[in-house]
Amino acid sequence: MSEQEVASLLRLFRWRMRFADAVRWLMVAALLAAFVLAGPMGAAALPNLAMLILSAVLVAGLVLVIGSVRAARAAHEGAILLSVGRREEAQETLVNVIKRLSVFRSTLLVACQQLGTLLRAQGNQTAARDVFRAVLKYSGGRFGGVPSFHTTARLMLADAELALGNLAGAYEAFQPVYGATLSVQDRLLLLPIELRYLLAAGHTAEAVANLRDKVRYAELMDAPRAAWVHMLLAEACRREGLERQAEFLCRRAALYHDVTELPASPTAGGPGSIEGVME
Amino acid sequence: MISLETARELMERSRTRATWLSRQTFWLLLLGIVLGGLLASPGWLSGSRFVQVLLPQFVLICIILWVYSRTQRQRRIAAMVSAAWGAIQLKDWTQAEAVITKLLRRPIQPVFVRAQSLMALAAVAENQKQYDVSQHILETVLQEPNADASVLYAARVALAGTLLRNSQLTDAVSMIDKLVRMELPPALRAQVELLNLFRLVLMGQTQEAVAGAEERRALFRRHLSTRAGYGYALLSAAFDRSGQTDRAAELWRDATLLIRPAEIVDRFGEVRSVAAKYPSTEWPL
Repeated sequence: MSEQEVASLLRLFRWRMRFADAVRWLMVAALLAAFVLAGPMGAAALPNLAMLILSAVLVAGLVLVIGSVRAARAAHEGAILLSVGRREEAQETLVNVIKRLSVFRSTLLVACQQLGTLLRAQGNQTAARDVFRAVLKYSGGRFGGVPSFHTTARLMLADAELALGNLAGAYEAFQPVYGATLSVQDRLLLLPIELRYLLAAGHTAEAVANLRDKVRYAELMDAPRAAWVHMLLAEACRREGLERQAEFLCRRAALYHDVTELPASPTAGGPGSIEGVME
Repeated sequence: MISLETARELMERSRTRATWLSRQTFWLLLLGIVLGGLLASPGWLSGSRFVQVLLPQFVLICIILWVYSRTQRQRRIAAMVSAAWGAIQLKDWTQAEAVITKLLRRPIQPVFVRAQSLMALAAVAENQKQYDVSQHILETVLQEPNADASVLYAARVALAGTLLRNSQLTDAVSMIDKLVRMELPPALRAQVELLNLFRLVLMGQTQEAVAGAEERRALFRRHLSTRAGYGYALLSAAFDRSGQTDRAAELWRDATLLIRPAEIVDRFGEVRSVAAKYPSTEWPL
């Protein structure tokens, strides 16, 4: 996908999100209007009008929900296609989800986030960053925000920023996550990003702090990512003069995975750094 | 400690009665009818103008509160399932038991979430070496017709392991053979192979265990991540029994590079002699 195509798709995504918001508020307003008009508050015709509004809202809601359920299924299918490596089909499916009319914000967010993951895997880092920024913007907020998406979107944005070499952008993206209570899954996402940032920024003492806990989390990852995190920790230990620990971590990394297949630069994305996050 | 009685009680409490009209649906339906009636004919229930104005709003608020509380409960359940599995992954067994027993004290819907919760309970019971309890829970999960296919596969693999631990060898062997013959995704295939290797070591079929050692080792390395250490330990035991001590020592070193020796022995007591015989990798952490 070219950057122009991504930009135009993001414009559509923003429009769709605003539409989903508008529909939601419109339904709430219509329901409230129906109940204000109901009862013996005014003319005799008003309860009938209330019933008419209520019926219209329910029918319109039903039609939109049916269409949105189809879009949700397609988004799920796109995520599965991406997780099994069928990228072209995944891209087509996800783009179609964003182009479809949906009142489910989470469906649009899933589709967009998966698209970002796909772009990241294709090496289109700038476009991926733009997509994650859009997801981050719409997954937050007091009303209608999706907290689980928001945290993941932050981590994915940080990952893309690191791949682009933008350390300040990466820090800005994942810093708020530090204060939050994270699930084990989010912690596993955060750890390699945090380590890559700390190594690239030269904060190696911080990278080796709580080494045992970090290794414990690395042990829960799949083999290539576990090896990658072990290599990052080994590098931090080496820079801190912890030679025994560095050697131990390198040996473990080699046992997990072929280390020659891992990227040499700490700022580069590791194996499956963000892929497969949303399954 | 999770006893059989506790497990039975939790399974019973967490079950949702399959009736065509649940108590909650009945109340929601009743409120809906009342609301519809009030909108169609405001004077239906009371002649008082005050009641006629407020009653529809009150009923609507009741419905909204009901939907809100249901959504919140589903969120709480999802968070507790996630917390229980997180604790299991981190081997914080006390926390895992506390969360899962609290969760299963009330009916859980949908069915696949209950199945996941029961799998977590079975994992906790297995860690406490309550294999009969674990077996009972896993058999219940397998009887659940609407459970997720991946949960059912995982339950079958776990049950086969539990049967081995409970010395129900005929059933275990038959189940493992069926699993070995099945078309499975590679990650699950690796788990089945680990189980099969455990069976071979347990039953003293060391030649068969040693024969496919390299393929098994590669499969474990690719798909089991840290748990590949258990596989290396079992392979080490097989090589040790077949007299190939150098290979056994090398595999034990690799096993203990991934998992601490005490943890391996705690899970697979069959490798105790190997742990005593060969030097383990030292952990400088």
